[in-house]
Amino acid sequence: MHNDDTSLGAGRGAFPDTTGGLIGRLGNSDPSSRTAALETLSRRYWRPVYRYVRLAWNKSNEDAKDLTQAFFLWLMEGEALGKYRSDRGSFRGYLKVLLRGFSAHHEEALRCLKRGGGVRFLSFDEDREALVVSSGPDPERAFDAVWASDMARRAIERVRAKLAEEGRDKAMRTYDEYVLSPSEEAPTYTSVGERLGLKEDQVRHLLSDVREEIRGEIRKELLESVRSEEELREEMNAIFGR
Amino acid sequence: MPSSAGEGWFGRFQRDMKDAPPELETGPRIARYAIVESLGEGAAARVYRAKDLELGREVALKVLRKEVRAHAVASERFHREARILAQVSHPNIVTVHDAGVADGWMYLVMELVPGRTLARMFWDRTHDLPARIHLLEKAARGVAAAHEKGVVHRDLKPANILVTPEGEPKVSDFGLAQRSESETALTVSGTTMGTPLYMAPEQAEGRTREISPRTDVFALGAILYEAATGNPPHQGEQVMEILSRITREDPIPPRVLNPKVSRDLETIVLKALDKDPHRRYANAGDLAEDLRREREGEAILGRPPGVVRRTWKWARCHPTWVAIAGALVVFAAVRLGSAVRFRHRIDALRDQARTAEGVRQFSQARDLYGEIRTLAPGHPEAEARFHEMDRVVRAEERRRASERFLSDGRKASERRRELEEELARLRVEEGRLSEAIPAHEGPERKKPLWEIQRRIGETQDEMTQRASDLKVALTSAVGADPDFAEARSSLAALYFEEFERAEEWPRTHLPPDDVRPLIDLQRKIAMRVDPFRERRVHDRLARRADVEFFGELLPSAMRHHRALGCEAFHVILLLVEERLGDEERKVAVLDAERLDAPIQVLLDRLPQRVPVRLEDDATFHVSMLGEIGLGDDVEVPLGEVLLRVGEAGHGRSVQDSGTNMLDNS
Repeated sequence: MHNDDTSLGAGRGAFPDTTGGLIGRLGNSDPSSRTAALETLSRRYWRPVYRYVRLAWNKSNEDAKDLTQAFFLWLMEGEALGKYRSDRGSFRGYLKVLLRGFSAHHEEALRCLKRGGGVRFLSFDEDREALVVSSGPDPERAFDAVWASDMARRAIERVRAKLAEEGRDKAMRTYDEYVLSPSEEAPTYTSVGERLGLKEDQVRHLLSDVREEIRGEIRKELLESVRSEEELREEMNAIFGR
Repeated sequence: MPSSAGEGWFGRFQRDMKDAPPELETGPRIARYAIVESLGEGAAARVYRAKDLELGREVALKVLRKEVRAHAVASERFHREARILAQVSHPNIVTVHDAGVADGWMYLVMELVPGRTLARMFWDRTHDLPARIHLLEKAARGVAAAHEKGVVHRDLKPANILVTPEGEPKVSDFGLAQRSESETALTVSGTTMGTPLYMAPEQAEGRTREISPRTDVFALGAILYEAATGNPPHQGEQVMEILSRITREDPIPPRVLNPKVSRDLETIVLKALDKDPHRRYANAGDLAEDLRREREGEAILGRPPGVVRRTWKWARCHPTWVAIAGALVVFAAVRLGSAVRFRHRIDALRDQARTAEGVRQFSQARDLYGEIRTLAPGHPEAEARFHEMDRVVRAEERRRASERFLSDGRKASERRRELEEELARLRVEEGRLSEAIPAHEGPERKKPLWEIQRRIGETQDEMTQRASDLKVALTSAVGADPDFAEARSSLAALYFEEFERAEEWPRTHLPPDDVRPLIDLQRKIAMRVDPFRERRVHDRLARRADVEFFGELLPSAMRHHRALGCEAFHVILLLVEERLGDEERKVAVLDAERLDAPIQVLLDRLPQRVPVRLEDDATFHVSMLGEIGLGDDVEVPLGEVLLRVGEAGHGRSVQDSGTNMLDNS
């Protein structure tokens, strides 16, 4: 990476070395640290994997949940994660490769799981919240789409909590009104300002603040699994649909 | 989590993030331009003082607002006009250096002009009348340079004319002022937009198709009026009030307000401000020329409105004084009647105009008829022919402009095809290398593979660029001449191709309204044509169903046949042939030069058919047209094609028999 001239705001020092970060901890020999990392991993990738499984192997809701579970168990028990090399592409891409590889084992894994060979280490109620992203029938694209929207959702929720704590609810309300749940078709700074009693300039600044916070949160989470500035940029672009 | 109505929160989130890249919010930089400070914000864009990091010079950087960019037409126009303007170089126009898109922002890079705007200067009253008028003469020459390239400013006003410390005026914001529909709506409600004070009546009434260089002439006239009298010609408290005055009221003659204004200058200003665009100067160049004549004491070319017209206008405004007006009319008539020489002159002009028209010098004919209209307002022949000639000339201009864009489009399309081939080649090479080089090899051995991958990336980037060029060119071609069938069918074909690839319209890429029916039709035809051909021999039942399907499609195919080009004819020929029930029937290759383009395209695309005898086919085809309900519609080009097929094949005219067959059916 030779591009010092970035606007993303993360210097090279911000990248975790090989032992730090989520990826590093996945390959850690200390079992408790490794399990914790796997749990984080499965929380973050549960829904994308689930979506992939449902589409790729045309499974019912229940079977897809089981298979997703089986996939993470397979990851946990196997050596695959330890073989990840960041110079060959993003971690997200690697997971997709693993999913493809899993296809050879998935029937067996499902049988094994149904015989009681596996322990659920994560419960996730898929029906509680329908997947908001419509992604078409391509499982890999579905995986990416759900991953991106989940990443955004988590970042937004963290920002929401943070702003509430700091007493800056107004900024988040502005963002809700303008972006997330506008009460009109095409809100403008003016119309949002009128509804919230703000000047156009204030709306602009508040929105800019929230966007920056969200970008920061997304960046923070991504830094757990990316190894280079370029990859960070690519992953951010993937989330923002650029 | 927020509700997911419509496109869903995530779609909105992505769009918002795309529209607000961090570069603009935190680190001030777009492409190679570093933003120094904001210079101001207009309805459509923000303007910054910026530094061109590559060339080390300061520039004005104009960044389009998101709402404008979302409007496809506005953004296409932005690109098109930026490209044209970059070619216009005139000391009285703000030079456009560069335009492009970076991180989703559309930007325009212009010469940075220090100094102040004409609006400010009027306010300060630092110049005397002749100096102000001279300044506007120069500005008009700048506008004229753009008119020569076919660009209309559309929003000339003192705030858009910059004056350098050396006193040189520079016109800015060319062509970029056209507002999207939503903004126009805002304009009418009067909430956001600035002033319509310099707007021409055709703009005020929303007759956008009539916008021409004469629209700019009106605006220049209004600015001249303000320079001469201190106020714009039509004022009011409310936007609607001003618009209404612009369309209905004649301005007070400038000399009434400022006796220092010369009679000639008054004539020039009022001619520029005529409600009827055709009575104004044809373009800013003519206006500038008359301003020069006035300044140098020569006789100006613009003449005061004729007595009859002036009287008529006066009578309209003052109905209670019509009796006195009547007396004036009589007086005028007597004057005209006695002017024998005057009549001779009119007759001479009329003869010249007729001759010009006869030899298809339409533009000259228009000007001659126009001159008659100026000299003798209400002259019936001049009146009628002038408008006709004007229509023809403008249609020709539009067609020419459209053809230029089409040719750009062809180039882009050709290049894109080349790139496609290149890409396929690279992909094969990539496959070969990745097989040949084991995955665990080190970087040294992988280099050739990486090089290929880098080139794939580059090729894809350029393909994207060419695809966008192609769309811009075709959209511009349709914009330049919406009646040009070839342009519309090319654009429709492009969208159709996109549609097929994407399976659904991407939200941001909806086709323009005027090609949408064509695409639908193309889709329907495409869905059925291929299976139809394959089934020709084997499946009689399915074929009958297809024939019925095409039969239903036919009326709209006929309606759009010009724009749809070959597709419609294709259907018709298939249908007609099917009805004939003869698999071996061939269609002759004909004297293609005499046919119009879509038919030629059709013939090119028809499968390789051997030119053979058609014997009675042509007449038979025409009679089939009658049978399938198109007999009345003899302007149907198919009938013509078929007749010509007959002519070409046999050297005998089958037109008569064809017509007879129609009559008989």
